[in-house]
Amino acid sequence: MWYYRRRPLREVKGGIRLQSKRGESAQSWWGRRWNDTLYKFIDSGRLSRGRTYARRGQVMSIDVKNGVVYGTVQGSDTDPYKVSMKMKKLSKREWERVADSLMARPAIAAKMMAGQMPEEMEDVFKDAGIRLFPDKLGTNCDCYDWSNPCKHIAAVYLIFSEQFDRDPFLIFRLRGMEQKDLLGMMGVRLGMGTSTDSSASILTPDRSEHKPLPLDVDTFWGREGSTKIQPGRADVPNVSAALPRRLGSFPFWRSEEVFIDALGAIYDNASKAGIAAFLGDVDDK
Amino acid sequence: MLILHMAELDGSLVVWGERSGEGQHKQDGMHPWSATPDDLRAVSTPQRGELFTATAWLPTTDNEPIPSSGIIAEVTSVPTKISPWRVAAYRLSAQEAIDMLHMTYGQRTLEDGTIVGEDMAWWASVLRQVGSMVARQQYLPDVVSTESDRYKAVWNPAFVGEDTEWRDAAVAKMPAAARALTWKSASVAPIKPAVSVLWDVASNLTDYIVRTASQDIQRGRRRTRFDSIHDSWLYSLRSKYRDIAGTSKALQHLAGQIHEWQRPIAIIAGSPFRLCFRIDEPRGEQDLWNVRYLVQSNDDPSLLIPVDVAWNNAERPNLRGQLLFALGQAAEICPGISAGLSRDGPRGHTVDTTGAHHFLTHEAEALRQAGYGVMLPAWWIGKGNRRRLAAKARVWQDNAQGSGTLSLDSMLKFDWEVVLGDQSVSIEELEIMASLKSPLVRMRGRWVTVSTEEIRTAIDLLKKGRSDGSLQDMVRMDLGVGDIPEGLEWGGVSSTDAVQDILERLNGQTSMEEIEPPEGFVGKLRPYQLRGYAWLSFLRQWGLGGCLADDMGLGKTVQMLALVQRDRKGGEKRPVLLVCPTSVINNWEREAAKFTPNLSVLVHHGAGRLKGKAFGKSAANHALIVTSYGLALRDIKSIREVPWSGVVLDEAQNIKNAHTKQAQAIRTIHSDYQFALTGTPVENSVADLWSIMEFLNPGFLGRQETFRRNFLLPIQAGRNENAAKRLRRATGPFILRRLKTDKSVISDLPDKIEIKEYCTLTKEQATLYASILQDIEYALEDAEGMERRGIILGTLSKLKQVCNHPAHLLKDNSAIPQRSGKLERLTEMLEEVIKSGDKALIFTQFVEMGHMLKRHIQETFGREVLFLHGGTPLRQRDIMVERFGNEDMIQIFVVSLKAGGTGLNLTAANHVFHFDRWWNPAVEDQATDRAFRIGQTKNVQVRKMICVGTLEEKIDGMIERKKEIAGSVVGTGEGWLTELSNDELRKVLALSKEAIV
Repeated sequence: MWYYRRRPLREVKGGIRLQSKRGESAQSWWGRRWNDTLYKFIDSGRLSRGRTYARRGQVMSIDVKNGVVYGTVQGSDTDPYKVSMKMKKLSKREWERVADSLMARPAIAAKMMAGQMPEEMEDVFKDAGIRLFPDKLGTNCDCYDWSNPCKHIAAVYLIFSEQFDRDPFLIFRLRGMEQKDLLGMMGVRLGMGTSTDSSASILTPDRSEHKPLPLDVDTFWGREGSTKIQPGRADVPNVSAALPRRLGSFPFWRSEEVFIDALGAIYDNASKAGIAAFLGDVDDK
Repeated sequence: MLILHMAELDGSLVVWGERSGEGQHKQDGMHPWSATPDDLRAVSTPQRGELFTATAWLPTTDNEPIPSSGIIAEVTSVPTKISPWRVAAYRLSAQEAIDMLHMTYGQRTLEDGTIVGEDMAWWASVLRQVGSMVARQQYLPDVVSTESDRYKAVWNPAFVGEDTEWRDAAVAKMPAAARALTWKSASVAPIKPAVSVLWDVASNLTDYIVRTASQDIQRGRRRTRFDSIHDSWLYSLRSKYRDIAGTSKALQHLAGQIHEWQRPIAIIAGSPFRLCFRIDEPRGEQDLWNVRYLVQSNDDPSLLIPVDVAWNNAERPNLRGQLLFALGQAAEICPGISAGLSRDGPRGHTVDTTGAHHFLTHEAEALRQAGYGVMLPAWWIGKGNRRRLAAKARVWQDNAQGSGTLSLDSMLKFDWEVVLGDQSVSIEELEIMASLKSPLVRMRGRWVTVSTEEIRTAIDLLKKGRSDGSLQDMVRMDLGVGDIPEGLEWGGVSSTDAVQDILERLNGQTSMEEIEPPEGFVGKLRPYQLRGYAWLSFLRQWGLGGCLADDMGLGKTVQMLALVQRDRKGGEKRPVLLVCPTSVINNWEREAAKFTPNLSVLVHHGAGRLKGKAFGKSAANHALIVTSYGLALRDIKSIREVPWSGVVLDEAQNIKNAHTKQAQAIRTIHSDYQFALTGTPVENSVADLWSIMEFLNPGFLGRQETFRRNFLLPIQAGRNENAAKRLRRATGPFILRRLKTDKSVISDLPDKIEIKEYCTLTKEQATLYASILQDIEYALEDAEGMERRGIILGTLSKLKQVCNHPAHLLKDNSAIPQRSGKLERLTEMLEEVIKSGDKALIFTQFVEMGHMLKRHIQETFGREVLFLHGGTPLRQRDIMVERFGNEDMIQIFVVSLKAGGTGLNLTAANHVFHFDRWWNPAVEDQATDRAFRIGQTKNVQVRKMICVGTLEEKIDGMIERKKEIAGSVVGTGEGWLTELSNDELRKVLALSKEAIV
């Protein structure tokens, strides 16, 4: 590359950083399997630069839309490069076969639903006559490098493999199936209510039902004492922020702060405030 | 009279109210009884929010809204439609809402005349639930989009498991009034369902509480530039700026990520059933515990079916996915579940004893927090015989006991002991247990929980050997407080001698020795009163304090007087200090004169009371010094100087708040023993208990902060049964409470108890009384015949009115509270009537007084009061009688003596008050018989209220004596009084100086 001139990398703030500081980025078997495809096609120079990019947070965004991974990577040029990757999608028919095959293996299905990807998942696909990891991958980058995969693709690839560790559904997404749709296919009700309003919190109960005011005087005003409801206990749990902890790490987290640590501090302070609200000021003095 | 209401409007809480009176607002569409903006200003601080006009959509009939209570206006017909009414309203900030709802905790009225509406009380329980969920950390960071396409960072409650049950119950019980408010401009009635109304407020309150608790993390001016959208979200979660900075695209993306992250919780929470786990003990010799999976339907929680049955339910094939999801999530907490997911349907899994212990101690609670149901064996949750190692102290014979001079300070020697059930465990056995290295051990046919630490502690304890302690220490240890070893259950103190006797009597294991009423006590003590007297004597003997909390009317006063008399007879020379509300000072004096005439009583009250040395000298010459709470504080220096044998507090709830100056001052008075009397159940309020116990037995429950940590928080916030049990054990021996419905009491009580309630005039009453007497002096000088008769009857009536209330005489519609000693006394007694769920009739012969009573009682207690008088139409009269009989919340019925003397059947009442006197026993008895007649199943307490030192007391005395003078006209009304000579009359009407204390 006679024209190649090393220019300084442009620094990125708030980029997505590869969490592993050395060696193989993926921890899970499927993450490694994913990376294997990359290693098969890339040379060691591009791979190591791609890894440096990923560790320095040069990847500015990653988004999965319609089964295609779109990434932006800041190189030395003014504008970031655009990277895309896609896999061969499965048809609805094929997915139904996968769902059936999963239901026949409850232990694996339950694990998958809880956010795990047991190695037997490949067998589930095999039962359905489908390969979980295809041989080929359609990757693209708008940089000047003639080689595909280039270092930008490698950076996005590696970051993506780390997300895999957290979310096995990502591979399904790339193959044309959203997590919630696969769950739905298996009979899981997906929210609190039947509300389909996507802007509302999914913790919100169904609010579509209309309830006119009752005429009956006792129901309307409430009889004395009839409205008493014993509240829950107000004790502080042993493990702080157990609920968010159980939900696992946040998808594609981008911050210097560790998500769960930031929440833990808030939850611990709030517990005291909760007890005060429960008891009322009178008892608290 | 104001009833406060609270409703949701755009996620905020809005307060409005109804005010009683002749529909003051006549304008079209205005609610006729709407509270005024000034009313709302009086209960909150509107400058920060907004006062506005809202529309309340209310059940309506004949173009008038139906009031929420008969206190506002008579409810006469059934509503026909929901109509809009304009009301003054005030929108509360989250902090204001929390402050206002805190004021209503456990209160029916905020101040005299301001009543907490049912809808408002309902919101208070919502706040408690939100507080409990925040404490338990059942909420998540979230995002909501607003109409203007902006996104807000919020903290939202996560209703799962038991909290879902709470929410469903709350929705079912919500008074519709809580969602009946709209903006003025709205043209249709609100249709937002209860579940959304609840959610919007719960969500705002959760967000506010969490956010303000975390605000000290980030302060200062608003930041708008962030490295990433996630930093921006975090910032908006813990600052006061809820709007998240970012591009619309980035924000949408963030919302998607958050939903994806939260989805598992939403799926569990939205599930049509609840997954439950039950652990079963091993059967046979194998070390296999079964954890079984069950499905509980949300619609019918009593229905529990095994998961494999639900799994193979052909009608609900979709259930499988949902079940797997729940099981998969649960397996994250309890990994053993993965093994239980077989191809033919999940059933359960097995664990060994160590695994079972881990499940019981860790996984069960984590599963419950995540929204699953968990069913644990009875022996584990402590309902059955949960068996654990317990420490005990065994006292050995000591020299001091031989000489028979055992006192609380006597030193005793004791050994530590470790027991399982009632059998002693040796060091060797403990070491074998330790070698098993299993937290659950099967011993003597039962599962026993032992941890390595417990065994270690137990061995260390046994190695300690013999220790010393005073009898007081032993008493404290036996009751589970004081210096007991930590880290083990506590089994109490055992001994084989006199010490054991004291301990067992305190514990109630041995009943008190019966003792005869003291010499010089006039009258009879009922059997339960004798027991109470014996109990007081026992505590007094050991220098321990106690709280006699018998129901009103059971005679706490006589039991206490008997004790003082006994002490005196036993040679006690020092006086007893009795502190009580001003309104009962006279009552104490009268009761003492009646039952213990030998006791010299000094009333320490009024402007002329003695102070300093003079007081000390005078006190030393009396047996009983009676004073009020107010003066006990004001004269505390003089009082502290006196060597008291005992201090007794009547209506001891006056010191329930340990921080008041009164309570603090009283605790500084030195004496050999302390007693408290109260008719309100102190043992139910953990917070009040400490203050009263600290007076009775200082230091017994430890310092207040320790008490708060060890008892108050675990019991009130954590609902910790164990802590509650320990507190009951520690305080039980010092509280004696008998209810009039107790089997052991009821047989001792006559069906009808007649009590004279002696009251005091206020200064204002006494001044008015004296001026009426002046007037009659001049008027009577030349009057004769009919004129004289007229003057006398008129004066009698005026004097009776003054005794009732100054405003009754003046007819000036002036303020009611704090001006009449008689009414104050009545109010105190009604409080106990209302608290114990009883019902009372109040008779007066004056219609004006009846109106005043109704108004005053309603304003004080926030409850509707019925009033029947000569002008009440017959139909109304029937409705009233019926309501009094059937409605639990109608507890007080005021009846004018003329109207209600005959015919009515009011047996729902078990208390009768004669507020003023007819002075004709036959008429009064007839009135009393409205309650005391066939159909009455309870004992009836009849109280005649008498102002001491006035004509009321003197005429009452004459009627009493008349019972001995047959054929006298005395007691047939008031006519005979006009036949008395001027001199005789003067004596009857005169005001003695004891009338005001």
